[in-house]
Amino acid sequence: MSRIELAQGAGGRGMQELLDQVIRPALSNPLLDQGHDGAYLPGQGLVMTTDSYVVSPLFFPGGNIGKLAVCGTVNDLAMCGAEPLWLSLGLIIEAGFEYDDLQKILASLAQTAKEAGVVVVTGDTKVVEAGKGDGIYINTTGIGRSRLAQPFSPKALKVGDRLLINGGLAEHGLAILAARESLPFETPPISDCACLHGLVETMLATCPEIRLLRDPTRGGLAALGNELASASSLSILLKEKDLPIKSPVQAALQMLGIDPLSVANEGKLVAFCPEASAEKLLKVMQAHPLGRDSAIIGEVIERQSAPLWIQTQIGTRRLVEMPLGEQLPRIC
Amino acid sequence: MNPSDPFGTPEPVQALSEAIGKLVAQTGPLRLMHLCGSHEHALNQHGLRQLLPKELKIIPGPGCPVCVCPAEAIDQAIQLAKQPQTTLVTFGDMLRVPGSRQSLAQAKAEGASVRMVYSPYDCLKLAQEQPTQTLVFFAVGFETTMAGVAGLIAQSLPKNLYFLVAGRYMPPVLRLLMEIHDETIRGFLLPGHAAIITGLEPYRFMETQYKLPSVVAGFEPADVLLGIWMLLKEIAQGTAGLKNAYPRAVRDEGNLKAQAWITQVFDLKPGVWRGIDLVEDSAFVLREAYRDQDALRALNADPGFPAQGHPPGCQCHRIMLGEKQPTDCGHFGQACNPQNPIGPCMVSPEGTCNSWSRFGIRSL
Ligand code: SF4
Repeated sequence: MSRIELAQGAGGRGMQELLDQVIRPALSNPLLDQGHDGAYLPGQGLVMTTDSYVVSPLFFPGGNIGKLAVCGTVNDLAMCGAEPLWLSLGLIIEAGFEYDDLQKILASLAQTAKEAGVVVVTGDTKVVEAGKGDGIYINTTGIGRSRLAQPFSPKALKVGDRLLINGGLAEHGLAILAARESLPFETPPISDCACLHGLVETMLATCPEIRLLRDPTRGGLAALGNELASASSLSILLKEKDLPIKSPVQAALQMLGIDPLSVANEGKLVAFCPEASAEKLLKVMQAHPLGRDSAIIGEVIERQSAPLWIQTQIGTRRLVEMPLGEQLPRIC
Repeated sequence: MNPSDPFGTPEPVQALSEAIGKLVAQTGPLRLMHLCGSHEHALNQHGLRQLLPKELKIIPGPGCPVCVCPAEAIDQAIQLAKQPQTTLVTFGDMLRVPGSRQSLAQAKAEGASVRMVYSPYDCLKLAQEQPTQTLVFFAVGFETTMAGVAGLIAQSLPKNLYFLVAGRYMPPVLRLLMEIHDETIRGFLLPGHAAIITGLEPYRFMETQYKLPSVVAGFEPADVLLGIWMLLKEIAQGTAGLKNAYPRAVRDEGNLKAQAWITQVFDLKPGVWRGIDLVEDSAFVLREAYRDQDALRALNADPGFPAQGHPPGCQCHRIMLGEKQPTDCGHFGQACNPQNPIGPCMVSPEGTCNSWSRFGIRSL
């Protein structure tokens, strides 16, 4: 393959290959090689992460690119067990972009940052020629302070650990698809885009034995499960009957022939904890406004012939492949 | 699966798989074939083959409309999409199907105008919104889809909306299979949603002429197993009935209104099924009364080169006839995968190779 393909940006196997074969080898160092959503910096207990936002459409039910640019980066910090503190903001704007839209995006970004208690402390703005950008691209870098004694690592996972999720799957990806393709829904699906650090704070306070947190964004739960199981040298078994999926979301995805496991979320996290703590953690999550529909959705099992499995509603078991990159490349 | 649907719950599934086990103990080893990508999807998504005795094999047949759409039709679609002021409109899974030289997606990347829709009725709206643009709907599908297309064409349509029709009718290919199959297949699971439109009668020849049982089945786990169980019952008692295991959706006589639309709008002509052959009376073509709407007659759809056969090494044709399985193909999971399909069975989620790839299936 001599050129980058669009699907390599979609969070599935193609992206994995791009990272593993090209990007990581070029830059390899101990901090980068932690391979987490962010890097635990030496010494100060600081965590740093960065993310670029290229979503289309820019405005969608439940949010816009501005809100997403704060939530996504705040969540990456939160998944490192960190309290988010500071953000940088990079704007790449296409000539001809409406002032009005820019203001709406910035207002929403500022509001989300304020609610999340993070401060935008530095930034950069570039304007590119008309036709060379898609309206606006945003990059945010976040710095936070870790609450953990020991950084999270997939290596910490043990057989029997339970997986918990804080609510319904596949809502962001479906909202974006519906908005982009103008799908005829009576009530358009709404993105779950939200900042999760508050939820994480309460979870860690009650259950410091949480082994790992990760947000199922691009590639959804299927990519998350495959990645973490591979990194831990164990396997993961999901329980289909316990997966929270709102029925309109389920019905719409079924009609479109899309597997909810591989659809992106922007306000969801998966927590891994020891079996003995699972019920306690579940109660804490369900008591939080962003976790009302939380559920225990699976467990870590001995290494099998494939990393990720699902026990179907009727009791059979099948493997869940790493998504290859979805039909919806530009979702976040 | 729809969790509120009793056909998706564990209890009937359990009971049916036990009953199937008992019947297979009587009949001995046997092979059944289904004709529908959605049945393959259901089998794989729910791991249903795990519940069947090893002696019973459910073989996937030619049931994916995207897979059997001939390269020639894709070449024509690309040719139309390249015309000035012309947009080709089609379903998403047609975009990446390889034509003779390229796919619609590749043509689109080179500037051809191609749009994806989810329903044939979306192109009506597009045509009304852009009165100076020529819109061509590339209609690919079996009876179910073509009934919707016929319903649309039967209306009075905007003058700038045309149809490139490459739909296929299922019963004749079953007849062809009966002529060429190796006689190890003892019964057929018929596609539930096609039968919603046509009813049972078009399949009656299975009973009268070929004396093989066939059963219309739905798509929830217990629907599929019920279909299989009814087939086994016919086999065990030595009968060859044509039965309906999906009465909650399929009426024996079908949907008469949809049938009337289809007959009003379409005629059946011999048509190529990609990888299979020319099949008599199996291609939907627009009747004379609709010639002004027919892209093949009213517009220039000739790509100027002959259609190419199937890609080297690809076994799709033999997979669709039940002679091979995806893992027999050297490209499977290697050069050929859902992201970079080489053959048509890998393109659509309904295709056997695609389904096996996504669900990690490696054997029957
Ligand atoms: S794996 Fe690809 S090349 Fe092989 S039979 Fe299937 S579609 Fe054809």
